[in-house]
Amino acid sequence: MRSKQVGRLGMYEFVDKVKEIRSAILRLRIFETLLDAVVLFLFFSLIFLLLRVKVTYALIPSFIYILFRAVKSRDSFQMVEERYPNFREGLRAAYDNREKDNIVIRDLSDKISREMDSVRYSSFLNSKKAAGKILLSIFLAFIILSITFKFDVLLVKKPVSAVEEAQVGEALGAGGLGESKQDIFGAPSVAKIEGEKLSLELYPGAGEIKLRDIKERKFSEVQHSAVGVSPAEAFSEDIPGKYESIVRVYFEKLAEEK
Amino acid sequence: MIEEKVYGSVKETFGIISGELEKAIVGQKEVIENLLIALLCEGHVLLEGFPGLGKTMIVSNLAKILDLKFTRIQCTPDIMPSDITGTYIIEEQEGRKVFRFEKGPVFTNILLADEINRATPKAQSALLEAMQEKQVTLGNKTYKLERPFFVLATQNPIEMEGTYPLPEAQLDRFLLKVLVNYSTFDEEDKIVDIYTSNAAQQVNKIMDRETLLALQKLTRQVPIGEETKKYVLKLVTATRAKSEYIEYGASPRASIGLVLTAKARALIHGRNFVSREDIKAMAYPVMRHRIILTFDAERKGVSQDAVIQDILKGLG
Repeated sequence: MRSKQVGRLGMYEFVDKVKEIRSAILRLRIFETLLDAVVLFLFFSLIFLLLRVKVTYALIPSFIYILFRAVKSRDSFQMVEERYPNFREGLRAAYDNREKDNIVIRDLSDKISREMDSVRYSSFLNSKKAAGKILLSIFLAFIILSITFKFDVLLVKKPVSAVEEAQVGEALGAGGLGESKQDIFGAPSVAKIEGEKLSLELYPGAGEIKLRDIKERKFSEVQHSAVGVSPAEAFSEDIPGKYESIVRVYFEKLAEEK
Repeated sequence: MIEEKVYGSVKETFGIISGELEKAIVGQKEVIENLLIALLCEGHVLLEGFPGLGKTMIVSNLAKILDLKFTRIQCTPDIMPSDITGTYIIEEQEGRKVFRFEKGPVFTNILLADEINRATPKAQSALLEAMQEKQVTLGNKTYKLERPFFVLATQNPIEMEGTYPLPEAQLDRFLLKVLVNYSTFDEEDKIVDIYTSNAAQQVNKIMDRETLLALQKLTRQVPIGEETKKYVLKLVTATRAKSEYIEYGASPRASIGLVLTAKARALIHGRNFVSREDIKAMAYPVMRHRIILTFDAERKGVSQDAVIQDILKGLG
């Protein structure tokens, strides 16, 4: 045991180090929580996309998770003790008695201060786990984009050739030949007329469609009339008798010319 | 300062004391450690064990090693309180008869009250003030006892006929109840060798009174974390919860005793803080005489130690 004095009352060297470690752990915990929340959001977004539920609802589980982590925050001493078993109970005892000054506490504080130098902040972050979560979020984001892109393309008739594609694009006011095969049409919007949703998708590049004086069509009731049978009339040409010969000659001559 | 000097070699000192005691006492390491812990805490110990296990020998050798005054009282049903505390005797001084206080065996550093349960309750209670207040009152006068004052009482778990079991209030005054068990085969082999040869085992003085007092002061300075302290409180209050086997739980003296003895244990083991390991180890000697079991527990043969073990398991 050593009896070297390292500090005065309430000002032990290790206290500042403990504060630094606690703040580092807090920052890492925030990072971890946000990363988890992103993964959760992407996962639920994918599910909701497949179920055709509004994607913004995927924020709810993420918020719940953040709240849960905030409420159920882990003791930073416990985290230090898990990674550095030599601090088990001693660190807490020294920290809880930091206001006292006697030979035993001074010795303990001295020992803790020396051992604190070996603490690395990076040890509190599971880098493999964090990398895995980042990769998972990239993968989920890729899947979500792929699904969205595929759906969009299926909704528009695919041009046969690049020339046709360019022509279609040009006609719709988008870029011409040589441009990448990105979704030039953008996100479709649902047209609304008089507050009613119509199953008509309009692309931003498709120009403007003017709807003039479109009014709700009014239908009037029509009285039913009795359905009866009437004899069909034979076709007869009403040509006066004095012109009959002239007409005949006209058609005969016409036939001869042909 | 003596404290700093003592603190620097505390673990080694206790190692030397244990080594010296081992010259005369074979085995019983737990008993020796508990006695040293009680000494550091200024507490008293109730030793329970069958006759011939070396209870008296441990105590007398410890007194020699620590260079402390040692007296022994053999408790019997006819022992009087004045036989313990002392009495006034008439003395002639310059032709006049005056009362002079003749100090009893209680005026010592280490008092061994052998078979305390054979003494009458009146004689037993004579020890009460001495143990608790570390003083003796006779008539109108109070006499302070010399520090350190350490009572070691022994009792035999068998032969209960004609005995006066210590009341709970008095049992509570003992910091520890230490069980002295039979030695192992190998230990007994050594005992036979030592005590059947000509070479008498002599122990040497290792520590003086001042050093012991400094160590007692240091014991109270050992820090304990809030979480460990809460663990002690949970443990003690758990004995007061309704249970199939516990009639009455441990008193707040148990909480105080548990923290203090854990501090002493940490110091002896060369640690400068209290750990749960200390609490778990000290839970048995501190609480076993403070828990009163139900009739059902006694009928089923459930011991206090089994109940404590159960509580410790529950707390994790």
